[in-house]
Amino acid sequence: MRALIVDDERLARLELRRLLAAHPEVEIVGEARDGTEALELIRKSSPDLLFLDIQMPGMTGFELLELLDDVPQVIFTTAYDQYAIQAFEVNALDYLMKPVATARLAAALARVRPRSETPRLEQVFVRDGDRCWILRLPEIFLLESEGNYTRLYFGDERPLIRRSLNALEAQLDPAVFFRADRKQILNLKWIEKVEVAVSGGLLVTLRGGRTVEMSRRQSNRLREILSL
Amino acid sequence: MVNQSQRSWNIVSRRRAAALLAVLLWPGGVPRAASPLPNVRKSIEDAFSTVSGLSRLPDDRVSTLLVGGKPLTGPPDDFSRRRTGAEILQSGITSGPGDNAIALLHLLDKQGFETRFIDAVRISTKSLEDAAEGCAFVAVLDPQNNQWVLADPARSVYIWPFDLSSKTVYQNCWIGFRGPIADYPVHDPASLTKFYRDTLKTVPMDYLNHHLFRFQFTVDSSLIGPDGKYRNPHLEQFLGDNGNFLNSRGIRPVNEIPVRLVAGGPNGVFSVDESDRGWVYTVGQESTWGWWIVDVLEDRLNRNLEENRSIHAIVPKAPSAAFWTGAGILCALLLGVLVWQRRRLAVQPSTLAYWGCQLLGWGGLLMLTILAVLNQPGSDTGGIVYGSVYCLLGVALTGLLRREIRRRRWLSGPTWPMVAAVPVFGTVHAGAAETYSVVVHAMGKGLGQNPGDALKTWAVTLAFWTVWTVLYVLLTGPRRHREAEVRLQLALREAELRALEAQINPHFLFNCLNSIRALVAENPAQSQDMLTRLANILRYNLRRDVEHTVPLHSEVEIVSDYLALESARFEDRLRVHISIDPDAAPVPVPPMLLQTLVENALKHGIAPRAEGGDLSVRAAIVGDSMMMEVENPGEIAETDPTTTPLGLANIRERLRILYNGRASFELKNRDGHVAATVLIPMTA
Repeated sequence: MRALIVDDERLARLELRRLLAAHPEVEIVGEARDGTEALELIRKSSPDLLFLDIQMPGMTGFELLELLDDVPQVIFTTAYDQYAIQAFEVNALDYLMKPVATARLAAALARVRPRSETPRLEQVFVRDGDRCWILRLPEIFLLESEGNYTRLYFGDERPLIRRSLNALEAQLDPAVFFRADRKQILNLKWIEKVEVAVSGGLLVTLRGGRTVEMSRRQSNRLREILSL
Repeated sequence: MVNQSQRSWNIVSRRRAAALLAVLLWPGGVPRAASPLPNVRKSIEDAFSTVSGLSRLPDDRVSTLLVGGKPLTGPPDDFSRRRTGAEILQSGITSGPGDNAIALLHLLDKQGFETRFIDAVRISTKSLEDAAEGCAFVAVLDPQNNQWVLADPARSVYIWPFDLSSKTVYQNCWIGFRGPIADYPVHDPASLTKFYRDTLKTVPMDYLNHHLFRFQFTVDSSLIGPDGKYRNPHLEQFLGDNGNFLNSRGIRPVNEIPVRLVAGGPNGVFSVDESDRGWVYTVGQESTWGWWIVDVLEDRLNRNLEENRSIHAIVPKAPSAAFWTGAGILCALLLGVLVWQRRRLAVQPSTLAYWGCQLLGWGGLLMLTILAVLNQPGSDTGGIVYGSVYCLLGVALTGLLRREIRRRRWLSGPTWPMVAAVPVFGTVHAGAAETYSVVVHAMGKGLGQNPGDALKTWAVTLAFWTVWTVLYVLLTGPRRHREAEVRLQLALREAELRALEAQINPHFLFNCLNSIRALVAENPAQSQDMLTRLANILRYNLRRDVEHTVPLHSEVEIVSDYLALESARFEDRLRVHISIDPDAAPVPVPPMLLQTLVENALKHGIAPRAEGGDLSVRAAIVGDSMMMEVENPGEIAETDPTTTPLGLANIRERLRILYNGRASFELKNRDGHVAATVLIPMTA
């Protein structure tokens, strides 16, 4: 497992490196002193795991994540920001309080999932005002274009992210995400019901009740995929 | 009013025979006396004789007499005040007491005396109700001792000496004219009636109250027939009318006279008897009932008063000393219970003191009013009710003023609202009291005092309000001062505690602990040093028995420890420069003030910069102040005191309270740096 340590304090990085020495499965591919350095290292070595401090000069940990297309798995390390972290959907990440207890570090590492073989987008970092999510893609049932932004639908949330629908489409697994029309991409695994609309196109109802009407051309493609 | 000592008279009617002789001998009157003037007493007595020799015009007949040289025919009243003294004496016939006085005056004039004609209106129920009646007198100057003598031809009495300026003659004659007969404005019966009516209007209510009587009639069973009704049907109406007349004019006599009505003989003869148990009016079965009864009684009463005899009146009694003692003890007991049970009543001592003062002040004023009213009979319950209304208004309005003072904090601000409030409230008070007075008087309820001098009421009320306000300010002064002091101390203590609590910055603490743990392996000596410094900071932070100030050098020690710890974290990103003038080191400063500034500088000036920067701490004496300055790289928007961060607002507040506005705090941009500067005065 390839890991990157991001912290502005040398002594903090030193201490974390010392603690990780007890975990041979973790290979430390680099250390970054701030967000700018981290961005560079992530693009260069694409680590599986980030140990990320939140308060850093120049750029906070959250701001760094927003700049990433593909978010690696993240373990936050912080002195006193647990309240900020608890605002997250915890399923996607863990956090460690400094000074870090060894048992706590082991538990966090145990939750890290092995990386899949295909280099597909697995999770995105989403921030909407004060609320943030590290979101695993299967949870998204609909993506909707709003100019250069894209609105994500998952659970009861519908935050806007700063990426275009076309850019996202290139990174999505075509077996799961289907382009319904110019503006919408839907998650095939969330389809509950398909009907033929008056216009001849298909009317798809997703789990949760949301309906999407498809163009005639895309309807034909969907019929092929679903072998209707 | 006629003084008792001035009242001396002689009855000289026994010389009537001699007077008659004189008239026969000198039909033109007594001849003019040669200088020196004859003895005034003798002259008056001689004149009385002459005048009393005049015969009355028959009441029931029309007569013809010379008036101004022309014959006039009419009933006796037609001649009243029309003829000259010479004409009266010449005719030997008088139309009444007025003619007698004119004749008397003529006689004395002829002897060369200086005379004045005096005409007074009678104060009686009959005079007020029916026809104004008068009494005419002659005043003569005794040249031997330059004193005036009043001659009353109606009674053949002279009063010596007489004060020419007195308003009254006897008990019941109010003077309307005094002067030479030539100036006398009356020339015929019509103008006489008008003169008397006008004079009556000038009589003060107080005088009427003291010289008219309220008769309390009780009817003896002898006047009541077997059917339970009065034997004389007019009696019922008479009794009903009695008293209404006085009430309708707002007259409240001081003296109440109990009179028992008893049946006499079958004819119209009546008699008045006085006994120790009151008056007994014996009335004939066929008597008519009317004002003349009251008139007879009043006449008798006035004579009694003139002769200083008892009038057997029921005089309203002022409450005795026992009553006041009892009332005082009761009030004291009530007050005692209030003080004793104040906790149960949840009354604060200040509230109790306030109401005590209100009770003492307004209650005392009311007591004085009641006493004054009772000591001045005639103005009865009306004055007391008015006093109560006035005092209650006072309590209510001063209560309102007190509420406003407390709510709007007038006493801790400028003085003008208080100065303005006194005349405003005073005017409202006086106005309300006067309005009450006027309204109640108009309603004729007799429950207010007569609308008096509004200006006087206003002035007196303003005086009361001034006294009240001065007392309020003086009495509440020490308490307000104490409260303000305590409030300031509390605010300071609170600000200090907030400053301390804010300093145990958990982010700093845990990062620091993490750094030390890393150092334990890498540099054990440095880690030990850091732990010591951390302990120092924690000790300083955890103490709660803070002084308001500490010497600057103690504060600098903590700041040094803090910066050393942060240097270990920030390493080469933080460069610290501390420069403390030795003269400044012992200067007392508020604790945690410099520390807050340094922490602020680190948080906003160093931590956000990847390259870090220089942090300078300086302290020096500048003039009569000590200057502390913390400088860090960066730039801030020009400071607006309302939007400064909490820590800085706290610094401002503490400086303001501790140094009463003489200390200053500034946050300024300076050549790419931000400088926080505090100036602390060193003089007390």
